[in-house]
Amino acid sequence: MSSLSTALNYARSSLSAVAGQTSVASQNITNARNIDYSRRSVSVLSQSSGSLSISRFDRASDGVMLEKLLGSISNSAAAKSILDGVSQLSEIVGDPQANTSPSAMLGKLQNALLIQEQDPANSNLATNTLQAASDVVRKLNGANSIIQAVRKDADSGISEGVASLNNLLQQYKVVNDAIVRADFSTADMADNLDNRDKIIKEISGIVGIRTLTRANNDIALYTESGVTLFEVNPRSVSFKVTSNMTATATTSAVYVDGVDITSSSSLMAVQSGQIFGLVKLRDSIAVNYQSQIDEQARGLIEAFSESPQNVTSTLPTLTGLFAYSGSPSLLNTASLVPGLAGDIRISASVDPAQGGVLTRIRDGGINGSAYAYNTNLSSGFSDRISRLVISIDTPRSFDPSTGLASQADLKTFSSLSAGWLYALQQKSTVSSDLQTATSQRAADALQSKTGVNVDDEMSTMLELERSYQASAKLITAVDQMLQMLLSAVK
Amino acid sequence: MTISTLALSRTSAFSIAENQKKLVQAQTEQSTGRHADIGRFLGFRTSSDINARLAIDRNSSQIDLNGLTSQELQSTQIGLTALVDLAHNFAATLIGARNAQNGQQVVKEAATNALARLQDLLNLSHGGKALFAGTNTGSLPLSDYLAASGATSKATVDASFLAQFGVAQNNAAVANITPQQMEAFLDGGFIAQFDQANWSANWSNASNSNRNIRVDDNMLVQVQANANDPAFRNLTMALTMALDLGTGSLNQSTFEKIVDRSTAVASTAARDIGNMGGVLGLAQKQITTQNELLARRNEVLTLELGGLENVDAFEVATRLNGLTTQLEASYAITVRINKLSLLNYL
Repeated sequence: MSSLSTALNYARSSLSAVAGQTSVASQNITNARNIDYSRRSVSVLSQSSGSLSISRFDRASDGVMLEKLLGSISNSAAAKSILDGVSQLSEIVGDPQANTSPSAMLGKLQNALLIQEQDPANSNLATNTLQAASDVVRKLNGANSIIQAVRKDADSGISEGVASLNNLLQQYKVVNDAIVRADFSTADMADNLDNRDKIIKEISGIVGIRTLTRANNDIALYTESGVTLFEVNPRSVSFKVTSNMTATATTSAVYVDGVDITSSSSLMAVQSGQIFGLVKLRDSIAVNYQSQIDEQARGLIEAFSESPQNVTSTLPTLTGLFAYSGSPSLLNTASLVPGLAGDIRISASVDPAQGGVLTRIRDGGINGSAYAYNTNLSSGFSDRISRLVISIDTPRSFDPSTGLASQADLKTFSSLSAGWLYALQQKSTVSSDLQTATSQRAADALQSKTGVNVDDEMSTMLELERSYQASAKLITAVDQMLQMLLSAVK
Repeated sequence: MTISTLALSRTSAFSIAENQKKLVQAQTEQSTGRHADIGRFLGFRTSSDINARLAIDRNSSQIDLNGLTSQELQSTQIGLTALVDLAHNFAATLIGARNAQNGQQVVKEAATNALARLQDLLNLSHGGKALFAGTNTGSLPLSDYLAASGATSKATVDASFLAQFGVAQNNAAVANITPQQMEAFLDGGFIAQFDQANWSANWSNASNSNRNIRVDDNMLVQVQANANDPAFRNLTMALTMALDLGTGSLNQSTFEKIVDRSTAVASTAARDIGNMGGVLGLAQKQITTQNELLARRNEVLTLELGGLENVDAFEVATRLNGLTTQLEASYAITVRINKLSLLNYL
């Protein structure tokens, strides 16, 4: 039997439903500019009695789009780490116009020799040659330092990445546990889901992942290569920082639960994410470039080496103007010596600042009189200098592992190396721009689908306001009717 | 489907940022005429770019050096011409004085002057380099035969004269030397003073190796004008025999023997030195040709470099225009989108 009190009940349930909806709409509007927020909605249900109640909270989501976004975040993070490192490396070459590349330094050395060849008796010109030779050495030493600094930075970056990964996995456990426990219950659920999505996005920036949704909305995390990162409990991610980064230092891989996920030889290696990019930079790109710089140093030492001048002599060919820690014995041709670029130096026997004799550039004899080219010490002797000029232009063998020509003259080899580096930078830029745009678009697509449209929410609010007014009106009407009834009874 | 408010504003912000980045690039390109980031633009072609720059630098150095070499060779050429003139003039003086009354005095004086001049010419330097010293450019080839302190060259000539005739050149007894005796000395002890070994030991500081001057990457030009060349040795011998084998006190027929021999040797030397000048002239010509070639190579390389690095000014201007228009449109739209909110109408 219907009564006035039933009508009052309807109006009251409507008011409470409107209040719930208003609260959701205002929460949506408040978070309109929060990128990690997903739009909430409520379903209102008519009870059999006719009154209204809030049946459940919903949270807009799109699993497929989220998965796509995660992939693009990983790819873009990897591309960006690689690009940053390669850009730092390319400062070694610089703008070709600035003439600061290793090739340009070699060219300057050869020009200095050309000028000295014209007037070998002039000691100013010998000093000029020594200066140019020192510049080449400084350039190679500097390149070695920059490369190792880039590798060191990458190493630290990996370490920071691993630390925040461990931290994020801990947070993930808290949030995921809350979700698993509290499924089908409160409105806080949505906040936890937002939070979990946010953590997953951050993790995918560090390492490429796959997700697996299981019973009770529990989500397990795996690296894209299949190593478990989180399943009920977070797995520990470990990494050892290389304290003294040199060309010959052994670097550490990143292990998840004891499984190597970064070495290229590992079957479980990941292919995206910041850690992947940094490891690639540290162990592949920078190492490859270092090998090219090392080979330039070795080629230079070889080009300036001295051979005994007596044709019947059985003495070995030894290092000349350019020396290294193992001087005077010469290194094997075409075989890479990692870190040589940091070790190359001017022979003390030539440098007056170290007690050497400058004229040995012209005369030879750095390794004693058996190696003297200018036997009767003519002041205008240009033979040795001519040979050095030509030696720079003579094709020589280089270690094929550099990925450049295995047979080239020094300057060509050096400029090929510059070309290699810039080709890499070009590729990384294109790839990074592409990945960033893709990730941007994926984020936008997901946002469009799950984000808040303020206009929508505002019009919902208008409707709710009308509905509230109507219910309030109803209550006033029922109240008046009851009033009339009571006054009639009086 | 509704679009979220955030996505709406993010999209336009993202495209504005992109366009601003491109605008900065286009501005740089317009002001420098080169691509904004050469290395990134060229990629692997950077190596061609660097190679072209290296070649241009090297060619420019070579052109400068060739300029210096040309000047040096020109100085050498002037020296050679003067030496030829000297030999000719001396021969002419000898012929004139052969039968003149005070012929011996005239010859002695002429020989003294000519020898001093010869020494000066062979000691010619250019930019601190002795031109006729072979590779030993740091020291002057000839020392002064008539130096008051006494030169090795004079001492050995004196000694050989004494050994041959038993008297010194300034002894009055030299008048007794017969033409045959003198001829024997000229062909024997005296000429030996001017062979390669004695010349290097007593007369010349020059190196036997000629200087090689690079005129291009793979081309060396040899400078054959060397104080140790037989032509110079012979000329010196012609002058020395006229000067210092007793001239002034010799009997007429012996004097004539000396004059005849000296004239013949000086004339031959003049011809040889002239030939040397011809060879040098060829080298000079070669350098001029080479420099033209190098300059042309540099023009080609500069073009190549421009092709790699330079932007099409017209294209950049168009792009710049397009970007500006697009940015303006983006700004206008952003303002409109931000105005488009229900909030403004409630």
